[in-house]
Amino acid sequence: MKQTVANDDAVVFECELPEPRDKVWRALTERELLAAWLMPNDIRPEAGAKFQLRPVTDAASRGATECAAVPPAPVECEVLDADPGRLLRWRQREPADAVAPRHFIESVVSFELADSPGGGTHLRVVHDGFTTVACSTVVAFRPRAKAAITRNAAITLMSCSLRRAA
Amino acid sequence: MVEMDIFRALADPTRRAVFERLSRGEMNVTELKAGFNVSQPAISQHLSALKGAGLVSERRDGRHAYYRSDPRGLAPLADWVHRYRVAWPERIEKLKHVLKDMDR
Repeated sequence: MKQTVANDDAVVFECELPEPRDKVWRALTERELLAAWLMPNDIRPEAGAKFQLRPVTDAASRGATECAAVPPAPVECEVLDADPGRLLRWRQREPADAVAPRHFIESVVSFELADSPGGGTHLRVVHDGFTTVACSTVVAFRPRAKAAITRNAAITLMSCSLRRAA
Repeated sequence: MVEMDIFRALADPTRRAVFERLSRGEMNVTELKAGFNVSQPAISQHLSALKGAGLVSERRDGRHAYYRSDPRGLAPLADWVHRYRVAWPERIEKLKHVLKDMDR
């Protein structure tokens, strides 16, 4: 597997998979399959669909008390592109600091699928657009309070260029 | 407060330049304005947005206010990029196993 850094804030992986694109697409977009290699989720592969990735608490690597007191916050996601068998892209937001989540990290994950010789799939994963988002209220991210969101704006950057598929 | 569209905010070159300039040292609004071809109210507005985002901190000394970039706003980014650089290869390995086990 090749790991390249396209620029300071992008993580890029490319690999060859023996399975065809439609099968890889299923592993990316069917909830149970995605859960088996990434995280439990409620993904819907449609542009605009919101879903969550729910980190599983790893009891072995965390203190028992911490597990009980602070379940890991879900990663809030929104599908940006869903072109079956070709491109899946979502934006995700997660607390930068689980203890005092005033800062959030936003980033964009893209899976680009292409045919590779021999019937397999060339998979390219790009994770970029890392951006900090500061919020004056954490309330916005608790489901019950969703209706009454007044969020103090956000910003900033490192490199803000969102990679767009050609 | 109106939620600012993050990608619009990121696309604002002046705001980005203000942040970068203030990371070189503390300045008051007048000093800061000297480097930009925009009005003082506009600079103040950018400062306010940057403060709201936790990126710029303000120090008051009598009637004067001084600003500087607060790098803590950005610090988590590098950690996260690194975290994912480590995590993705592990995930992709799992994906390979999932693909092998599918439809069995």
